[in-house]
Parts: sequence; C-alpha cells; structure tokens
Amino acid sequence: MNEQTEERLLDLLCKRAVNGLTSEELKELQAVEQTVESSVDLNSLEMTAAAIAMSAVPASDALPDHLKAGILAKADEYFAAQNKANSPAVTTVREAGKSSIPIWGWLGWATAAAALIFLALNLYETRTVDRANVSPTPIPLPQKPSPGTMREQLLASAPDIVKAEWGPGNVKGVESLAGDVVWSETKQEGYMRFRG
Amino acid sequence: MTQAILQRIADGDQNAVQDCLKAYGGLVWSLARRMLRNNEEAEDAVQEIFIEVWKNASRFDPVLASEATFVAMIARRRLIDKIRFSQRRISADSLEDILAEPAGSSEKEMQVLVEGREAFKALSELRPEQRQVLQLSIVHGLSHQEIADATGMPLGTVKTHARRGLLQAREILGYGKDISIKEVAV
Repeated sequence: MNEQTEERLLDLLCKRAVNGLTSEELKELQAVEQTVESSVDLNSLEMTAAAIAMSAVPASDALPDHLKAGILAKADEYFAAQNKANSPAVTTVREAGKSSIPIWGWLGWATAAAALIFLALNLYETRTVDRANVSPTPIPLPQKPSPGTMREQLLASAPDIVKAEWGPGNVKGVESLAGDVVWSETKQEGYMRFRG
Repeated sequence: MTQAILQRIADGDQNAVQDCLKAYGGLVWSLARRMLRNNEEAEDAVQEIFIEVWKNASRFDPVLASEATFVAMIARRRLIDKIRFSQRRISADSLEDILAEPAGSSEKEMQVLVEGREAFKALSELRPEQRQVLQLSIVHGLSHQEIADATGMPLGTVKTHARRGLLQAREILGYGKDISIKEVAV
C-alpha cells in the first residue's frame, strides 16, 4: 500500500468512524480495503469513536421499562426465527448400506409392486378405449379355388361323373345358348357352364 | 460475568438477552438520545440496534475490544445511518446547550460508565480544540459543517482536528497500531 493510498484510507476510516460515509465514499473504501494487508485493523477507529462516545454516557442511564418490554418481544420473534432457521431439515438422503425398513417391510412393498404390474398388464389387455377405431388384425384365409378349378378337381376325382351338353332351346332370343353340366352322385357336387 | 453475554447470545441462549439489556440498555439508550435528540426516533433506533447486536454477537472478539465498546460501535453505526438518512438539523437552542456543557472534569468522569473512563482520560490528553470537535461530532452527532457553524472554526480546521484527535485518541487507548500515522504538529 503506497503512502497516498494509506492517507486516503485513513481519511475514509476517520470519516466513517466520526460521521459516516456517503454511498460513493463507502464504495471507495471497499475498493481501497482490497489493497490492505490483512493485519490492518480497519475497525480500530470505529472502536476509538465508540469509546469516546461512552465517555459521556452517565452510569445512571437506564432503559425505560416499556422500551425494554418491546425489545424483549422482538427477542422472542428473533430467536424463534433463528431456531426455525437452524432446525435440521428433513433429510431424504439415506446413508448408503443402511436401511431403516425391515425385510418384512420390503416384502410388503415388493408384493404391492407386483400387484400393480399385474393390474397394469390386465388393464392393457382388456382395455376398450378406442377399440372401435382399431382395425382388426387381418387373419389370412385359405384361398378359395375358382369355380373352374373346382370343376376340374371334381372331374379328376369323382368316378361317377355325369356330363350333359345344353341343347338349343326354344326360348326366343337365347337360341344360341350353349354350355354343359357335370354332376357326381357320390359327392353330390356339380357345375354348370353357360356360353352365349 | 458480562464478557460472556454476547457469546451466549451467539449460542442461541435467549436468556442472555435480559442480561444484555441490563448491561448495555442504558448505554445504547443514552447514545441514541444524545445523537438523535428525539425520544421517539431514539426508541425505534434502540430496538433496531439490539437486533443488530444479536445478529453480530458471534463476531465479537474480546481480544480487540470490550463488549461495551463492541455494542457501542454497532449502535453508533446504526445511529449515524439514521442521522444521514433523516438529514437531521440540530436547533440553535440545542447547540447552545451542547456548547455550554463542561468539556471535562474529574467529577464528570466519575459519573460515566466504567468503560468510558479510559476514553475520558484519553480525551483530556488531547488539545482542547481536538477534544471539542470530537465530543461535538462523536458524542452529539454533529456534522463537521454544523461544528464549523457553531464554533466559527473553518470547515477544513474542523476536519483536521477530528482526524488528528481521533488518531491520537486511538494511540492513547491502544486500539490498532497497524496503520502508521504521519501527522505534523500544528
């Protein structure tokens, strides 16, 4: 700390001790204090001023009773707030490896968890919400053979096939109708074909 | 045992508040009335000061000062703030009363608090002008300008007396000797 800074520091400390500082001076003091070695007692001048102030305090002065009562009431509020602030908070962190819940307690929780999982699965499986909007999963059906294929299969498999050709009829407009009919007595199955 | 009061308060012992008020209530009340010169403002200030004392109780160091000096220091900080905030102006009548007070006598010394007697002796070792400026500013809370107006001293002279007197009183009382004093005789 150079001599000029030291002088300014003393100026500010004296003013603070005697009359107080303006906000600008207070900022300046805080800035200067940063450069001061820790061994310097910055309160010594305030303590000197406090001692001088006490030199004029009569020993007989006493606090008025009503003021004392008011301060004691404030003390109740202050210490209640302090006690509240200092009371240990409920801790949620448990020491690793230690558990305050016995094994029976854990068993109960495990059973409850399993029941919840079962309930959730059951609800999922039986849910009805939006089911109407959900398309059913298409089930692949065996491809039905065409009538022509079925006719061919019947002709190939039935031993007693009766076959007849349609003859020209006498209905006006359908004289050119042609085709045939096959029938199996044992399979009770037959097919008709029309052309024209 | 008065030295233990602030430590007990710092430890959360509310019963120590009664002892604190008994030991320092009169001191704080007297400082507030002298500096503020208004009983209503002084009462408010005293309540605030004691709350401040409880908050700062853990910072008290018996090696640096007595409990009474520590309490008085906190009280003065709060009172100075109040004076600056209120822009208080002291009346001419009050000034006359203050200036008429005897500067110091052995009889007066016997009437003050035990803690103030050493400071009283220290003040008596200062030059009369320095003593007067310090008493007007520190005991009665007058600004340097108010002192200059009341005594007729130039403002710069008032400031010089305040600074030199305070530094010399600090040396006599034995508070903090780490900052060197470079003063020349007037």
